[in-house]
Amino acid sequence: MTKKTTLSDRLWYLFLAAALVLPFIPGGIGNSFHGHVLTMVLLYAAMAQAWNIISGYCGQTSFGHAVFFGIGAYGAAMAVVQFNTLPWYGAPVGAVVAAVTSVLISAPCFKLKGHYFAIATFAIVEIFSRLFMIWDWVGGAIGLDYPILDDGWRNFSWSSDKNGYYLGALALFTLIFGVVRWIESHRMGYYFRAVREGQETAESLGVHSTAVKLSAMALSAGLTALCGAFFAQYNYRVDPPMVMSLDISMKFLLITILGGLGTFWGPLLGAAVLIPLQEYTRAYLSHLGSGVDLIIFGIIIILTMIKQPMGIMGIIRGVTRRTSTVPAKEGDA
Amino acid sequence: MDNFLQVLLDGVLNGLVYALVAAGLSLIWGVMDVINFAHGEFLMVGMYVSYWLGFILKIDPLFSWVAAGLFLFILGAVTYKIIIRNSLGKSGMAPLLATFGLSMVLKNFCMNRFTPNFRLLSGTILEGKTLSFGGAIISVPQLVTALFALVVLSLLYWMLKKTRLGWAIQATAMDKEAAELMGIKTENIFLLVFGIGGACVGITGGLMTSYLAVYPEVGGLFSLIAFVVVALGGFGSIPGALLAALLIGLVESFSGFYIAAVVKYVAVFAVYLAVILLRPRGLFGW
Amino acid sequence: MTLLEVRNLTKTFGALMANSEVSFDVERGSIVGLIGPNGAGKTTLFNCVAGLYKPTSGTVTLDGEDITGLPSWKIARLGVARTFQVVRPLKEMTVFENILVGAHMRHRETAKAAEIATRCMELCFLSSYRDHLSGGLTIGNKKRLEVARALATEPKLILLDEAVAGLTSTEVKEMVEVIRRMKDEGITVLMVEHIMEAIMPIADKLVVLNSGVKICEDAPRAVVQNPEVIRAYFGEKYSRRLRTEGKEDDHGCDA
Repeated sequence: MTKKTTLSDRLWYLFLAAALVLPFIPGGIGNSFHGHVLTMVLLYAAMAQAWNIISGYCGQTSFGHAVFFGIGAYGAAMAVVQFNTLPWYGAPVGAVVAAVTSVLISAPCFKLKGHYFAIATFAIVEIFSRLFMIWDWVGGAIGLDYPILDDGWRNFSWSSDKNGYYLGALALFTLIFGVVRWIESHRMGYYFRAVREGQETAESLGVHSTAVKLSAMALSAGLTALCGAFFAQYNYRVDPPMVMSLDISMKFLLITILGGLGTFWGPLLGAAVLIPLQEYTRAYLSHLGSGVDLIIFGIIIILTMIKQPMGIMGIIRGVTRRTSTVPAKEGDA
Repeated sequence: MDNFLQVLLDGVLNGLVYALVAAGLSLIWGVMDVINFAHGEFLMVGMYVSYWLGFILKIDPLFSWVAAGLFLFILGAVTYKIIIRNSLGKSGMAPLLATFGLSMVLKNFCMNRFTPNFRLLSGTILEGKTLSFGGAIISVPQLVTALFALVVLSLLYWMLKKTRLGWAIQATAMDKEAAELMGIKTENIFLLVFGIGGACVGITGGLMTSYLAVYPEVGGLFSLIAFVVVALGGFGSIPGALLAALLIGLVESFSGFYIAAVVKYVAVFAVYLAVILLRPRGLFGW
Repeated sequence: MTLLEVRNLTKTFGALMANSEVSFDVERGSIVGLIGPNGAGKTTLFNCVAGLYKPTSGTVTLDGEDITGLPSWKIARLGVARTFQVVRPLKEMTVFENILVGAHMRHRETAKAAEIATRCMELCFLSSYRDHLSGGLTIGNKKRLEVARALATEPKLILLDEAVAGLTSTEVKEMVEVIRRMKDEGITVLMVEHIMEAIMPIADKLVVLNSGVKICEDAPRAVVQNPEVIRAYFGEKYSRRLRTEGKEDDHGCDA
C-alpha cells in the first residue's frame, strides 16, 4: 500500500502549524481569556481522544475515566505538594498507576454487558472518590493546594504569561492525537475496531479480544492520567470532586459523542464547540445566575441525542455523502 | 444489642424508601431497556414541589405528595414524548445521554432559581415525632415514608400482575413487536411507564421533605443507589428491587455504624460490585 | 496424510446430546463435506472444532497437535479459519478493512497485510466493493467476505459453515469457484453444507451426521448410495429415483 497524503493528513498538519504559531503572535495567548479557552479546548480534546480509544474505537463505553484522570492529577500534585519535587516525576508515575488500576478494574468488569458495565463503572468512580475523600495522605476532602512556585517549564507552572500552559496543552494534544493517528493505521487500530464490531468474529480471526480490550484500556487510562496531571498544574490544586467525580467522567463522554464517537476528529470538534460555549456563557451570562452554562450544555446534549447521535462528524458525513459520487453503501438484497 | 436493633431498623426504613425510588427506574429499564439518568433529579423536583407547597401554601407533605406524584407523572410523560421517543433506538447510549442532559438542565435550573441552599420545612405535622421500640428510636416521618413506600410498591406489583394494563406492560417488556400484533399500543404503554416511573419518585420525594432537606444536588446519590438497586434486583422486577433495596439499606446502616460513617457508601458500592461480578445479571435477574 | 483428526467427540447442552462419539479425518489438501439433515449437529461440531464451544469429551487434533478446547483465537492462530453460518460482517468497517483484520494475524506490518488482503479480496470477487461498508453488502457478497476474511489468516484448514445457503444460483457458482481456487492454493476445506448441488461435484469425501451421530464417511458417489444415508437424509422415494437416473450424472440432487 503506497502512502498517500489524505485530506485528513493535510488538515492535521495545517491545524498543528496554526496552533503552534499562535502563542508567538502578540496577543495570541499570553494571559488573555481566549488564551485560557484555547488551552482548555486542547486539554479537553486530548482527554476526549484518550477516552475515545477505549470507548469509541474499541467500543467499551467507560464511565470510569474520572478515576484515571484523578490519579494523574494526584500524581502531579503529590509530587509537588507532598514530596517537594517536580511534577515531571509525578505525571508519569500517575500514568503508570492509572494504567495498572484500569487493568485491575476492567479485567473483571469486561464480563458485564451493556448497562451493567456502565453502572459498574459508575460505582467504581464513587468508591474511588469517596476513598480519596477520607485518605489523609492525599489531603482528604480538603485536597492538595500548591505552594508558590517559580514560573517556568521546570515547575510546569506560570502565573502571568500563560503561553507555557498553552504549549503544554498543545504538546499533550499532539501526543494523544498522534498516538491515535498512528494506531488507526496499524494493526492495533484494526483490532480495536474488530473487537467493537464483533468479539466472536474477531476471535475467529486470531484476535485475543480480552488482551486487546485491556491494552486499549491501559493506554487510554495512562494518557488520561497525563491530562489529569496537566489539569492539576493548571489549577494549582486538586480535590476529589474537582478531579474524580462522575461529572468529570461524563465530560469525556459528552465531548466525544457531540463531536463523533470513534472518529479521529470528533473529540476536537466536540471540545471546540462545547468548551468555548461553556467558558463564554459562564463569563458573559453570569448576571443570569449560576448554572446557566450547564443548562445550555444540557440542552445541547439533549438536542444532539435527539437529532444526530453520530454528532458533528455525523452531520459532516451526511453532507459529504450526499455530494460524493461513490455510494457509501450498497443496498441490501 | 440496643444499637443493633437501631441500626437494623434504620437500614430497613432507608431500604424501603430506596425501593420505591428504584421501582420506577426498574420498571422503565425492564420495559424499555433505557436507563433514565435524570431519575435522581426527578426525585429532587418532587421534593421541591412538596417543599414549595409546604412553604408557601402551608400544605403538609402528608398531603402534598399527591401533587408531587402527579407533577412527576406529567414530567415523566413529557420526558418520554420529547426526549426518549426521539432518541430511542438511534444508538445504545442515546437515551442515557439525553437523560443525562436533562438531569443537568433540571439540576442547574433549580440551582439557578432556588440557590444551592439546603431547605428544610419546619412546622410539619410529623416534625420531631419519634416512637420508641424495644430501646430503638424511630423517626415517625421516616416510618410513614417507608410504610407509604411499601403500600405503593404493593399496589404497583398488584397492578403489574393482576390487571389488564399490567399484563400489557409485561407483554411490551417481553416482546414489543408481538405485543403490537396483539393490539397493544406500545407507544402508550411506554408513555405510561415513564409516567409511573416519575410518579414513584414524585411520591417518595413529596414525603421525604418531612424529614430531609431539599437542595439541587440531593438527587445525585439517590440515583446512583437506585441504579445499583435495579442492577442488583434484576431489571423490571419489583420484588427484586425491594429485596435489593433492603440489602443496600442494611449494608449502608451497618457499615456506617460498625465501620465508619464515611465509608458507608464505599461499602454499598463495593458490595454491589462484588455481587454483580459473581452474578452478572443481578441477584434475581433472569 | 491427515490434517485434522476428530476422535470420539461428544458435546451435550444439559440433557441435549448434540454430538455423540463422532470421529472422522480430514486429509491434507482435500475438500470434505459435512452433511446431514437439520438438527444433525453439524454446526455444533464445527463450533467444537473452531473453539467456540468446548467439547464435553473427545479430542480434536490438528497436524498432530491436540487443540481440543483451546480458545478460538488460539485455534485460529494455529491455522484453522472459519466462516459463520449467519454472516457476521464487521459492519462499520469497509470490505477491505474486514479482510485486513484477518491478514494482520500473521503480519504485524500493515503494508504486508494489505498485500495479502488484496489478494484474498480478488480471489473472492470483492475488489469492486473494496471501500464499501460491509454492513450494507448483499448477502452473496457478505458470504464471500466471510470466506475472504478467513482466507486472509492464511489457514491450513478452512471451515465453511453453510457458505452457499441462501444464495442465488449465480452466487452459488461464484462461491463454488472460490472454493475450487482455495483448493488450488493448497488449503484444506471442511464445509458444512445443505445444498447438495454445491458440494457433490467438489467434495473428495462426505461425512454424514444424523441426530448427532456419524452414520457414514465415504466418497460422495458412495454416500448417495449408502442405504442408511438415504433413509436418514434423502428419503426413500428420492433415492430410488436417484438410482434409476444412472450413475454418470454429475450432480446429485437438490436437498
